[in-house]
Amino acid sequence: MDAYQITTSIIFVYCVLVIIIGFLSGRVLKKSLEDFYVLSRRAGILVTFLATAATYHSAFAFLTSVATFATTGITFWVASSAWTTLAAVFMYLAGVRLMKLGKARGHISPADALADFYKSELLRVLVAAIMAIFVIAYIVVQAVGLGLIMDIGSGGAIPYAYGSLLLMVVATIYMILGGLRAAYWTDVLQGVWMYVGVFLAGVLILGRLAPGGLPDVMNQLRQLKPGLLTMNWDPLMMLGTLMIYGPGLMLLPHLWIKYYVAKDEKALKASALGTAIYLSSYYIPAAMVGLAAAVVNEVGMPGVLDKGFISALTKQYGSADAVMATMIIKFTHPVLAGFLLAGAVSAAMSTLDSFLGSTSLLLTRDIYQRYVRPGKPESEYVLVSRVLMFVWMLIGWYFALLKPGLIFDITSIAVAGGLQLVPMTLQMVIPKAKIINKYGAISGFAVGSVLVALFTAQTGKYFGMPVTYHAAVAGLIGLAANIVVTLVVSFVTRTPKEELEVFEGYKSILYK
Amino acid sequence: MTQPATPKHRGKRESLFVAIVIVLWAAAFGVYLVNSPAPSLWGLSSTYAYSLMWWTVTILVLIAYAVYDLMGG
Repeated sequence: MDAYQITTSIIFVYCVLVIIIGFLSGRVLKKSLEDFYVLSRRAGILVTFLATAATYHSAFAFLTSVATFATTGITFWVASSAWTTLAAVFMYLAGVRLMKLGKARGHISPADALADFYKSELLRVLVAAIMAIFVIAYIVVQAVGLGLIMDIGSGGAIPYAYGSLLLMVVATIYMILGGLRAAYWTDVLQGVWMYVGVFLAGVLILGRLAPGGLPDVMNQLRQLKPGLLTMNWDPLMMLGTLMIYGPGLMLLPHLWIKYYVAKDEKALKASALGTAIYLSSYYIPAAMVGLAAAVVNEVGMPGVLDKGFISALTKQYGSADAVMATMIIKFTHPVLAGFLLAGAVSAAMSTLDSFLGSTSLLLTRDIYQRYVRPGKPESEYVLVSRVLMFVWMLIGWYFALLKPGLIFDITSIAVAGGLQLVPMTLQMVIPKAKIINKYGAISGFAVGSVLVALFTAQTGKYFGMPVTYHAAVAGLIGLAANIVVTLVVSFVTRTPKEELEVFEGYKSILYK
Repeated sequence: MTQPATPKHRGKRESLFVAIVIVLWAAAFGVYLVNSPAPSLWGLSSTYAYSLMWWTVTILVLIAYAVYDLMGG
């Protein structure tokens, strides 16, 4: 058995494990949407915490963070330490309110909650449809990550396209077997595996390349490429990433529904605290590997990696995202490499499964159940959910075949879309005075989402727009326009009586 | 035994926390004032050292507030 076979076999063992967990969780599944999606709102601290943390961190965290550390240096730590902790604070403050409202009013999706608060079916469809489109970008990056891991882990024996499809099918199988219950159960395994994996990778790779630790790497970089030791994003980009990966990401459907899983306020708040520590500390070992890779990239390592290997990887895979997997394969024992790459698969799958689940939830609960075939047995909706998961998986895989670029850039498009939910959601979780009505919410959200698509390079180029240098900045532009339009339209239109009555109901849930 | 806080008390506590959050995250931008590759604490660049310290303080503040809040304020 050669090294690549050992590594690949361990990844397969991991896949079998998650399918078994999916099967077991499916056996205790009740045929209701509430159980299929939000565990009947009974999760304790451990499940809520690990489900949130593992879902937040995806192929993005395991692969692109290392790639970004290797190419832009500690800039990524400066921004990510701030946005991950901000995301947890948002969960602590807004998440708890969303949970209380969800319990009291029976929400299980973002579109559900917003349509109920604003008494608008148009808003329901708009949020469900726009979010389903934005999250495709997120599904694509997991597909890209899975393809890279399998290709590099198998030494090219399982090429990118087939590796991606294979691992996506594994995630879809356990989701079909157990619904989001399977995602929550596997998240516990995946959350631990990926965290242990990234720390092991960081310590082992840094130990091998720079026995003096991070200060040693910094000294080498100070001589070779000092720009990697400073903050290289301008304040606008920093603010943009803070906003899109803080509240923006926490409002995407796959994380929003996590607030409904927790059994009580204490479980959700304790989970938010754990999430702050987990998410931010995760990037410490990622920095170790990324900065060590930057040194190797500058000087080369005879017989192991050539000078400028990152450019070669970028040419081969369409982005630098393959750096982490390459470092693992080159600098660790094959058994350990298998374990660590399974950690990387965990990171991607734990997010992919939640996206497949939450997107199918949006489309089933908010569109199919209401407008296509209302009043049918819950088992039919569960079946439709399963079919939609498979369809969305295939869409994500198709776009991944086009090798769309750096995972960080693609992910940013989706979270910039999530940021557009902020104004209308804040009104819902802080119902002190009625400032935003349904007309304002709909117009602001639509304008913000369109502007994000137009000003983002990957999509705006098709419309001949003057695109911004990053989706994070497009997200800020969208949010600014969104806020102005929301407030102006709400001010000049009359709030329906029915909406005001619901507003009073929300106020009493949160303040009395 | 701790008594549950009244909605008014909880509101004040949350407002104070939000104010602290705004100050803390504004301080994250202070990194631009020390943005240099020169060695600082433990041989780390001054940018990285500042950011690590900011993160440590932030995590400690979050822990302190969460413990206070979950104990009933």
